[in-house]
Parts: sequence; C-alpha cells; structure tokens
Amino acid sequence: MSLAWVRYTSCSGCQLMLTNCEAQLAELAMQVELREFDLISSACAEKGRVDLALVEGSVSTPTELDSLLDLRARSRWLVAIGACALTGGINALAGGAERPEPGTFPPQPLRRFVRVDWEIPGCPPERSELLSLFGALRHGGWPARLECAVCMECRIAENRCLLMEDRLPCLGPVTRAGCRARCPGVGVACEGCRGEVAEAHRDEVFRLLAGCGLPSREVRRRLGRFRGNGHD
Amino acid sequence: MPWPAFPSIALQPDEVGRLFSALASGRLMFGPRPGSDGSCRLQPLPEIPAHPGAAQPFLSLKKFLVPDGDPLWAWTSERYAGPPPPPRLTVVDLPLCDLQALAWLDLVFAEDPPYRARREALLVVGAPCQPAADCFCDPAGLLPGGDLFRAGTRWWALSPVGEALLVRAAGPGNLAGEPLPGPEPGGAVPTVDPARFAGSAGDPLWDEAAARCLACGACSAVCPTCMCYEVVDDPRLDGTVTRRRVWDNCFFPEHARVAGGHDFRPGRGRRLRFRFEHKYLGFGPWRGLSSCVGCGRCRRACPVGISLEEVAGRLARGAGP
Ligand code: SF4
Ligand code: SF4
Ligand code: SF4
Ligand code: SF4
Repeated sequence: MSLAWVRYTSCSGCQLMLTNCEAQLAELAMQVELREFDLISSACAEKGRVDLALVEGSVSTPTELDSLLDLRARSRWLVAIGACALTGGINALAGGAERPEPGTFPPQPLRRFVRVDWEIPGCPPERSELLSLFGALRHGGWPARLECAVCMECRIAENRCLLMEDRLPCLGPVTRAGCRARCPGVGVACEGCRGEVAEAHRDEVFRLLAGCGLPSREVRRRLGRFRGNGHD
Repeated sequence: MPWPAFPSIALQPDEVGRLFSALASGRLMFGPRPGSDGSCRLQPLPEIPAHPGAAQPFLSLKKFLVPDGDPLWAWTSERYAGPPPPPRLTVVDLPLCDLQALAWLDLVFAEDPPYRARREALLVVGAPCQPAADCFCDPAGLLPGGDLFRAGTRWWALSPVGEALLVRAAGPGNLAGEPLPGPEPGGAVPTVDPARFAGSAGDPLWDEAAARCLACGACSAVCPTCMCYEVVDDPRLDGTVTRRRVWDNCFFPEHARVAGGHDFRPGRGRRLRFRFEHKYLGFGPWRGLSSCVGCGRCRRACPVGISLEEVAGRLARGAGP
C-alpha cells in the first residue's frame, strides 16, 4: 500500500501522533510504501498515484487547494485526519474576526472541496484510531466505529460527571466518542475536539452550558468551535 | 413484603476464617469503595472486610461479566484462539438490587459462553445496604442472584456454590431457611399495564418525555440490567484480528438502523419508549418480566433529569390530550 501524508494549514500534531507510535513503526514500515511524508523522510518519490492519502490540516490558500485537488485525483482513498481537516479546527477559531492574511482565505475543511473516503477526528487524533485505519485497510475495509457521545465512554470509565456535579461546561453529550473520555478522565471538561455527534440536541446542550454560568455568546462559541464553519 | 428466604446459618469465628480463606484463595477481591472523588466503584480489596457494608457501585457487576471491548476470539497467524481464561474474582458487599440485576444477566446470558466462563470464575457476596432516598428495590422482583449473603455473623447461601462453601466451612446439616435481611424499600418499581403501553405508540407522551433527552446513553450505560452490545472486529497492522463485544445503547442513532439506511426507531421519543418497554415489559422469552431493579442509577446519571418512573406514572394516569 503506497502512502502519502500531506499537510496543509495545521500544526503537524496529527503526524506526530503517528510517528509517536514507536512500537508499531517497524511493522508499519513493512506494510506501507512511503511516497510522501515530510516529517519522516525527505527522500520522497515523485508525486505519482498513491493508494492512501492521509491529509492533515485545513485548506486556506489557493496553493493548498490546487495541491488537494491534485492529490485527490491521484489517490485511491483520501482520509481526512484531525479536527483541522474535518472542520477547520484550531485554524478556523479566528472565525473571520480579523482580516485574512494576504493570499489566504478563511480555513476550510477538506470535504468542502473533495470527496473524503474516511475521517479520523480529534485534536490530536487518537493513536489507536490511526493504527486501526492501517489494520482495517490491510484486511480490505474501514475501521469499526460506534457513533455515540463522549458521555458513554465517560460513564464506562466511571468518571465523576463534571457537568452535573461541578457545573463545568463539558461538551461530552454532543461530542463524538472515541477518545475514551480523555479529558473528563483527568478532570477537564471536554472541549469537543472530535466534532459533533450525529443528531446532536443543540438546544438542550445550550441550556445545560448556560446553566453552568456561561454567557450565551460564550456558549455559542464553545459549541461552534469544532463544529465547522457552517459550510457543510 | 419480606425479602425471600434462603438456607442460612450463623457462623463461629473459626468457621468464618475458613470461609474467608476459601473465598480469597487464588482470587482477586473487589468491593464497592468510595474513591477520592466521592464516587463509589467496585475496587480491588486487599482482603475481605471483617464487617459487611454494602454500597451501590457506580457500575454494577456487568463491568466484570460483560466488559466493554471484551475479546470473543482472535485470529492470529492462520489460527483462531478463544478468549483468555477469565480472572477468578470474589466481589463482596453488593446490595440486593445488584444481586437481582445479576439474576437477570444470568438469565439472558445463560447460553453465552464468554459470559458463562466469567460467571463461573466469579463469587458474589451480598450484604444489606442503606437505601438512598432515590432508589426503590423490590423484594417481590427478581430472586436475588449471587452466591452468598452476610449480615452480622449470619450467612445465607444464594446458590449451590454458595451452599457448598457454607457446608465446607461449618459442616453439613445446619442450614435453615431464613428471609434475607433486606432494606425496607422506599418506593416500588412501577408496574406497567401492557395493554395501555401497546396503545400508546402514537401518544405525544414519549416525545414530550424525551424532549430534553440528549441521547447520551448514560442511563443505559449505568443500568445494571441493560446489556445491548455490538460486535466489532479490531484488525491490527500485524494481521491479527480480534472480535470484540462493545457496549451498545438503544439511544444511539445506529442501534436500529439496518442495511440500506432504514431506521426502525428514528427520534429520541421512539428510543425512550423502546428502553421503557425493555425495562418494564421485557422482550422475547422474558416478556412480562420487569428487569428494573429500582437501583435509581439511570435517573441519577441523566444530565437532564429524565426518570422512567415518572414516565410510567404518566402512562398509568393516562397520557395524551
Ligand atoms: S463529564 Fe462530560 S463527558 Fe463525562 S459524563 Fe459528564 S458531561 Fe459527559
Ligand atoms: S474529551 Fe473531548 S476535548 Fe478531550 S480528547 Fe475527547 S473529544 Fe477531545
Ligand atoms: S432502569 Fe434505572 S432504576 Fe431500573 S435497574 Fe436500570 S438503572 Fe436501575
Ligand atoms: S441519560 Fe438522560 S439524556 Fe442521556 S440518553 Fe438517558 S434519558 Fe437521554
């Protein structure tokens, strides 16, 4: 399986999550043929056809957009990795408050421009999810995924509920699970980095967060942070 | 209404000593203990506490018997392997609601080999609890499961395994039937009229009850008798595949969605009604058997304060316009 990891507007944190899987890197190197992966190797081959394109970051310049369109055309599967690629993520937080830098436009998620075959959410994504993508593709499918909210994993972990007990503005009830409630597990309210669940009950969560003492404007910002910028 | 009677005996200190070593030998011990955050969980114990003191843990025995992510089998280098042998556990000081919930799990997983293996490696000892203001166990409900029960110096055998342990500690022939010293329940598990329930499908009651529901799944995750699971394959880079059972939940959008995209239970109202039906009326061979043991966990865990008992009350009073 030939692999290209391409990064647009992002912090490289997603790539680091993969390169941090030290125990699995040798096996990974045997399974995939690295074509483009700046963080791992500068000796990358010509930009030809690849089986798997992993794309980190949002699109915020015309050059990035051209590159993404070209990448889509020459890859069999294109997978969006991390919050920036899925919703604009951290880059989109400026939210049009300031004028964009010359030659840039507000950060956009990949699926605004190209077909995305699979998504791995998170800021940063879970190592286990990155690895299970390779595992599943090796067997000819996509990883299994249970669509539910972070609260489910938080209850399974028997954490104290920060929202109910401490009135902290936890986004667990509307955030896609998969991180095993990483943040509430250490006493920090979920920021929603994995994006919004399907069928999110926005009104009710708005009320719950406002009940934590947050002004409405702050609640809206908090809820919108990893929801994308309304283009999808 | 008193709690049911089981074979019972008062043990002498040396007999208790023998019983404790039988319960502890080659086993990990767990019991409900408050954590530093004030929440009570089943936690490892260095030894069996001399004095019984039951408390309701956040998650019941289902976290040991049907653990989330439990491997069912693994495929490794051209070979299938069953799950590793389950740990041998003794869990002490469980309240009666959790023993009733155990009886329910024993019933529905009676023919499930991974469950059976875990259950056979488990010894469960109950004790009388202090009921909370918001729980309402029912002595007339499910016959408590588990193996032993203790209060003061008196012990009860809840299963043949438990009886054998008592006989081994105290000698044969001394056990006599005695009701369990359960708590006076503060309320009652609602009874639901099946005909009224069946006629309520189009009633706005369900959507109204679920209007605030986040579909977070907390109620069912903490319920000791909710046992929906999904089976997923976990393929690894090195070629091994592990098939796992992970906790599923009838509030999740995928729960009743089938190939082609049709959803048999769209919307939170329909899903709440489904959970309600399963709890109070049962499905399949267990129709008519309520699996709510009145532990109160679901109401306590719900971020928006939805309570199935209140919904049952509304249904009984006659809902609708
Ligand atoms: S702490 Fe947050 S994620 Fe955990 S149960 Fe409460 S609301 Fe849900
Ligand atoms: S708990 Fe929330 S913020 Fe933390 S990693 Fe999970 S989804 Fe992201
Ligand atoms: S439905 Fe609620 S009260 Fe009844 S057993 Fe389940 S968690 Fe306990
Ligand atoms: S805990 Fe409450 S909000 Fe969450 S799914 Fe259950 S009823 Fe709905």
